[in-house]
Parts: sequence; structure tokens; C-alpha cells
Amino acid sequence: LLEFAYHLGFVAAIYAVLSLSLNFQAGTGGLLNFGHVAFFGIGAYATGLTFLAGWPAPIGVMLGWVFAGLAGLGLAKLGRTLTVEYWAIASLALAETLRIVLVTETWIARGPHGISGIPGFFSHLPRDQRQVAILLLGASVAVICYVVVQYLTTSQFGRILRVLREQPELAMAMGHDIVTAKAKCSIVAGVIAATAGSLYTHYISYVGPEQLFPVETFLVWTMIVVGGLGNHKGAIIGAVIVYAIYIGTRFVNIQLGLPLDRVGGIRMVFIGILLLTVLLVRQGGLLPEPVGRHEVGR
Amino acid sequence: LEQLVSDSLVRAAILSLIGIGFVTTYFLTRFLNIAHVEFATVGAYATWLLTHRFSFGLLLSASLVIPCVGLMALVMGRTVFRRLLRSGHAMAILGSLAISFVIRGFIHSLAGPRPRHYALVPEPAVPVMGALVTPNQVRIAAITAVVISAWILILYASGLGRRVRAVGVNQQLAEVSGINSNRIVDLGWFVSGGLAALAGVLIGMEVSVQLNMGWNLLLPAAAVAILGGLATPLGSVLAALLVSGAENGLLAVNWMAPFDADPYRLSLTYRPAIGFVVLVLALMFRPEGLLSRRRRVA
Repeated sequence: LLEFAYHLGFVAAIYAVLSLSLNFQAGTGGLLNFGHVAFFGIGAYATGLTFLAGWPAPIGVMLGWVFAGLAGLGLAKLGRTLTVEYWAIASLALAETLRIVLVTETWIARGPHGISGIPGFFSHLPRDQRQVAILLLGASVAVICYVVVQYLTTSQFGRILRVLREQPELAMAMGHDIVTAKAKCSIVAGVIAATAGSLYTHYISYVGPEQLFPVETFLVWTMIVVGGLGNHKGAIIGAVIVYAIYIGTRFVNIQLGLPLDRVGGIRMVFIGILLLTVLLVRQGGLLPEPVGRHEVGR
Repeated sequence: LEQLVSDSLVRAAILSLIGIGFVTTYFLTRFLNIAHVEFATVGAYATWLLTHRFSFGLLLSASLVIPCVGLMALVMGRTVFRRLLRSGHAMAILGSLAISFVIRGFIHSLAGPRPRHYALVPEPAVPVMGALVTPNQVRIAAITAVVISAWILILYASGLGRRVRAVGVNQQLAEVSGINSNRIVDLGWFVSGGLAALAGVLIGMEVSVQLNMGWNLLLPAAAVAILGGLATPLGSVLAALLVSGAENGLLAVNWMAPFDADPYRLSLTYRPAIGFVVLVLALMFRPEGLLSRRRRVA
């Protein structure tokens, strides 16, 4: 049972990292990214392909950063002329296209079979110590990401992003370059999410296209909305809560006596209703975005 | 080539039914309802339920289900979406994503993940002008043509249609001139829900009833709606013809024909990706729609 707890802890940390990156992009930057799982997937596949090529693992992580950064840049450039809802659809479309390419072009990464046998972490340690070490690794990455994201949000750059989100015309009038700021924001988000992808791939020693379903993006969205859009502490708390509910639905399924193939459905109902309720009843989430006295003047 | 044209026509029929619904609600409420495509899934499953559990005929079931799904869309439009829209478009889109997952999860937990089929007697395909066409495909095309013509006729040749267009163009002005805009918006929800349900039943007749039948239509249908200019049904029909033509055309082409090499065709799994590519191209180059003369104001 303790092993299961370690496992849950590590996966929750991965989700926390993903939530932080999406929260920085969507909450702070106001970019409605519905294809966030693509960044995760880029990191995951960079690690998987690096393993296939026989290169050392850190190269995989760095390749993930590079490609996710490029993807973020491309997405932001595409969004230069688009309004919020168009960009949301476009990002969803790009993530789905990536998934379909990975499924179909089996020469890239073995298509639907995915890449397995990727080495895990700390394989020289004994089993019980290894699990603690892995959990600590996940938690420390989450903390580092939190510090980075929080620093960027409270810096001058973060203030510019928030002005861009609330009052794009004002930001332009003050001489800020919207496209560049959005691009930087997307790149940061992409790099952080790709880190999560690399870590997760090493952890489960496998990467496959079914990790790139839009459901994952939806889950991370629920996490940041529940925690409070724009609040990075909230993103972590939201990640933990929503992941707990996600795991908990398995027991609901058992309680209801439904066949196992219905778990996915029950989960989606629970998570969806949770997201909808927060959106309708408590828009700010558990921890609303802090509004500094000196930062927002009407 | 004849086969290509006839297959594209059938696909275009379904895409334009969904696309018109998309456009109708966008036109009246100014937001892209991601959950729209799930009305098709609901319609298809509800019809399946009536035909199998209560052994109603397909025609009777469909004619019972379609207005009910329309009503469901109306109620959702009045309650959930209206409330979401008050807190901004970004929240409304996110909310519609949540609703989409709730609906799909709900059907998944009730009906399970296996695809369903209507109990139709298989009919042999007959050659029509050089293409093999099943009687069902003829029915799909005919029903769609009649329904869409009727909606266009209502929209452009009746007082009711004039009121719909007035609300879409300028809601305040329409209200000042004595139009009850809430009624008109309700009508829009009803019609778009009904059209989507009809599309769902038609897909069920042609292929099968599946959980992802709606979701798979989202991006092609969004491409249709945006290419069609997000305002007129006629634009959607043209865009649907274009998208389905592109889908079937690109899949049928032998890309190596000029190079005297082994034939290379795109895998069928790329069908949705073609919709995405058309969508992204549309967003980049003609976000104001095919037929629009005016540049879109950001």
C-alpha cells in the first residue's frame, strides 16, 4: 500500500508541474491552450526517441525542451492574428494532429505500440530507498517549477503578461510587443510541460500515443480552475485534489457495481461536473489570483 | 473520381448539418460551443436506445429524439451557457469543453465503450453515374438537402428568419425594434441541437453509433464553421463541400505518381488531421470566412 502511495505522490507531482505550466500560460498569460498535452508529449517522446537512439537521458530532456519551446513559439506565432476562441481550437487541432502522426507513422516511434523499456531512475538503489528518492525527485522538480513560475509571474514580465491579458490595447499603447510576450510565455510553459513529460516517461519506462489524448489537457484544465486560475499555489493544490478525485472514482465505480470498462466514463462525469460547478459557482477557484494594490488600477 | 465525388457529398452532408448548428449558435451568442458536436452523439445513442429497448422504428425514434435533443440544447443554452457567457468567452468555451466531457462520460458509463449499430437491413450498393452508392447514402444526402434548404428558406424568406438575422447582426438594435431576442436565441439553440442530433442519427445509419462520433467531428466541423464565415448556412455548406473534398481527395491521391516510385497514399487515420490542417490554414489566411468581403475586426 505504501508503494501505491509513493506512486500516487509522484504522479501528483507530475500533474502539479503540468498544472503550473498551463497556469502560467492560461492563467497568467490568458492564452486558452486546449492542446497542452502536446508539450507533455513532446517531452515524453523526446526522451523515448533518445533512448531508442542510445543517447544519454539528459539529452532527451534537453531535446524535449528545445522542441517544446519551438512548438510554443509556433503556436504563439499562429495565434498572433487570432482571437481567444480561435486560438483554443487551433491549439487543440495541433495537439490532435501530433497524436495522429505518432499513431500512424510507425517508423517514428513504433506507432500505437509506443516505446517501452526506457530506464527508470536510481536503478542502483534498493527498492524501498528508490521509491522515496523518486518521490523526492518529483516533489523537488515541482517545487523548482513553482519557484520559477512564481518568480516570472511577479516579475516585470509577469506584470506585462497580465496587462496583455486584461487590456491588450493598453499594453500595446504602453509599447509592449504582444506577440513576443505571448511567445515567451508559451515557450516557458512548453519547456516546463516537456520536463514533466520526460520525467513521467522515465518513471513508467514507456511512452505511447494514448498518453496524448485530449482528456489529459482537460484534466489539467480542471486542476488549475479548481485551484484558481492565475494562482500558482492554487495550481498545485488543484492538481493534488483533482488527481485524488480521479483516483477515487475507481472506488465509486466498484461501489456502483459497474463493469471496469465504465471507469473512464464515470471519471469524466465527475471531473466535468467539478469543473463546471467551479466555473458557475466560484469562478476564482479555491485560491483566487492575488491582485496587488499597486498592480491593477482601474 | 465519381466515387470520390459521391463519398465527399455524403460526408459534406453530415459536416454541413453540424457546421450549420455551430454557426447558428455562434451567430446568436458569439461563442464556439465545443459541446455542440456531442448533441450528435446524444441523438445517435438516444435513437439507438428507442429502437432497441422499445423496438420503435428508426424513423419514429429519430423524429422523437431530434426535437428532444433540440429542447435539451435549448435548456442548456438558457441555463448553463447563459450563465457562463456572463463571465466571458474564455470561461464559456472552457465550460462547453466540460459539458462535452460530461455528456460523453455519461453516455460512456451508461452504454459502455462498444460501438452500437442500428438494426438496418443491409442493402446492396447500386451504381449511379459510375459510382457505387448505397440507398442509405442517397437518403442521407436527400434528408440533408431538404432540411438545410428548409432552414435557409426560413432564414431568408420569413419574418421569423429576418428576426433571427437581426438578432445575430446586432442584438441591442434588434431588441430596440421590438424583437424578443431571448426567444430567438432559444430558437437558435433548438435548431442547432436538432440538426446535430439528425447528423448523429445519419452517421449511425452510415457507419455506427460510437462514443467518439461527436468528438471526431469537432475539428472538421469547426473548420467548416470558420471557413464558412460563422454567419451564413450557405457558407457552411460550401465549406463542408470543400473540407470533405479535401479529405477524400488527399486520401485518394497517389503521392508518388510523378516520381515513378512505389505508390504512396496517406493512411486513412489522417482523415481528421486533414480537417485540422484545413482549419489551421483557414485560421491563418481567411479567418473571416470564404464568402466574406469584409476583413475581420480583431
